Amino acid sequence: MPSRAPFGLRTRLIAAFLLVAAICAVSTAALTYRQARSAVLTQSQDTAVSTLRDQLETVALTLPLDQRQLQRVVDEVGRRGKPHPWVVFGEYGTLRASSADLGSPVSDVLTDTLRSQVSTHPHGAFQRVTDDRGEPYLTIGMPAVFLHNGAREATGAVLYAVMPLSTEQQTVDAMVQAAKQGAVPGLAISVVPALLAARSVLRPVRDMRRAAQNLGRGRLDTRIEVRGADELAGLARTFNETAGALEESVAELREAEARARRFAADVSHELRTPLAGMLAVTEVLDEDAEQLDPDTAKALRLISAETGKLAVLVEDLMEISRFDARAAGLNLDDVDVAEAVGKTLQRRHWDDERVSTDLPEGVRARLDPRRFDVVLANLVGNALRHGAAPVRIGVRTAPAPEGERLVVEVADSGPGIAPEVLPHIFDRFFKADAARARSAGSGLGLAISLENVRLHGGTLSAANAAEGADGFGGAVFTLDMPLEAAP
Amino acid sequence: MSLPLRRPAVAAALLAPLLAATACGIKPTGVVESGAAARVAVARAGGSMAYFVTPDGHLVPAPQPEYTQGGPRGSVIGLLRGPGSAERDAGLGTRVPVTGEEAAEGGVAVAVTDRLEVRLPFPVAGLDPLGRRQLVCTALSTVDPLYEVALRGTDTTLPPARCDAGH
Repeated sequence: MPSRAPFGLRTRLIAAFLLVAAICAVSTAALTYRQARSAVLTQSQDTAVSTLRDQLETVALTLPLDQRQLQRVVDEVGRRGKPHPWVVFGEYGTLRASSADLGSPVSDVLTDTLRSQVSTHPHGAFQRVTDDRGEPYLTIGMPAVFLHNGAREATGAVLYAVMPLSTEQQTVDAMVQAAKQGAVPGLAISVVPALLAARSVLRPVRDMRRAAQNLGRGRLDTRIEVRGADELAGLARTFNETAGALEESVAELREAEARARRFAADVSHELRTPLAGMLAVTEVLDEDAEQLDPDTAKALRLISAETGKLAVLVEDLMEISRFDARAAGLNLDDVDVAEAVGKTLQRRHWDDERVSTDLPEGVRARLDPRRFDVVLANLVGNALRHGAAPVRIGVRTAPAPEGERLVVEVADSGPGIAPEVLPHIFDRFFKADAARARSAGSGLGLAISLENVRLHGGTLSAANAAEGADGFGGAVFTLDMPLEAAP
Repeated sequence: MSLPLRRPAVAAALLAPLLAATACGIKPTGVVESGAAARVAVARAGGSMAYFVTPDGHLVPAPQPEYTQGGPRGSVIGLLRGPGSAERDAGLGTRVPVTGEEAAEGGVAVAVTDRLEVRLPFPVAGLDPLGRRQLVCTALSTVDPLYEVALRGTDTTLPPARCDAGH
């Protein structure tokens, strides 16, 4: 698009509508007015000219005219003006007469053009003029001719009639007024169909926008009601088809994902029972290992250790499968946070100098103690395994608009996490150190921690601490969740 | 970009001549010819006429009943008497030398062949066109106006002409 229009679609539609209406109204009014005006004027002019001719033809002249005779003719014709009263002026040689009782016997609105036209070419003629005040007048020149020797010959006498056109002026003014008064309400009325037209175009557009927004928010079942059979309806139909296709592919993808997860869950479940048997056997064999020869004992211990790891892995897999299946639920309890942290450390035998804690007294939170324990154990274990002692645990509360929050920070004294690794740290089976293919953990610890925190409505983030005086900034995991978790 | 700019221009171009063509009110016009002149009854219209000149240079007929029987010669003699008091009152004049009735009686002669030849007792070369028309029309006032009239003065004979007072 070369440029954005400065106004909305509605404004432009209404403006275009009004423009068309205005052009129609103005042109109709103008043409009607022109026609009517010319009809009114033509009628008056024709009537006046023929009346003057008819009146003049009723008089008899004796040539040469004298002043008395000219005055008599002028008075006689001057009484019978049509369609409006007129003033008649007579001219013969140097004689001048006027039918007006007062005033000059020579009219001041008669033009020399009319005079010379009428006297050189003896035919009736008229001219519309305006006086110095702008009032319109009709002036008519009518020469008197007579039949002499079989030909029409001018007598030399010319009668001029001057008729004010004030009535016609009023009629014309009234027409202009009517046109103006008609056009404005007409334009006002045409706003209504303009608004309706704009609405009929804008409503589908608005619907479509809303539908597109819904679609963007993930409501793939959004459809638009298709009205009519115009281009907008076609657009709506296309939109619906697109949304349908999108919904179908997304459903297929979800189903495939669900199948994959179910498979993982099933596999881990199937592995659990034989593993339990194997664990029992390896424990018994472990006890008897001292009586065997050293090589066999070493192999036996290896099998025993790997079997234990496998059991942990299967347990973790089943746990994460439960999260994926949304089968994991919170078992909430009111807990003293300091006590819960202490218990976790004690159970794992970490309550020595490797881990230092900063635990404020009396912080009580509503959470699932088992899941909190899993999270904390994972974080601390991770810090001890991949970072370096000492590990610091900080617990505090922070106010937030939607309620107080519990913040737990676990920081180690290791080299920190490489920046390129940081975004993937919570991915499943992600190995920070590619060379170390085998690690002590299952590779699911942080992923499970994250899911547990999410279940509480919180967030878990990883970062590197600012470099301290010793030149090392260890990794810092920050758990941020509501003090009162919602079930 | 060009379209939204052009649209008002098009509308203005449509409206402007329309509005200009319909200026409000009653506008003055030029002189418009409208129908024939009024035909009036004139007393003694069939008789002899002498043509005199109005101040603005047009020929105006004046009946001279006493010369009606005299034919073209009588009419011309009547013209050479000059305008009478009634004609003078109306501002009518003449461009023909006024000789008086007696000199005219002696000096005017009319010969009719295929045209009318009028002999006049004064030179005609210096007559102005209005004077010539006065003489021609007066001579033809009692005869067929399709005749041509040749004026023959003491000095020369003018080319024949017709009366055009009837138009």
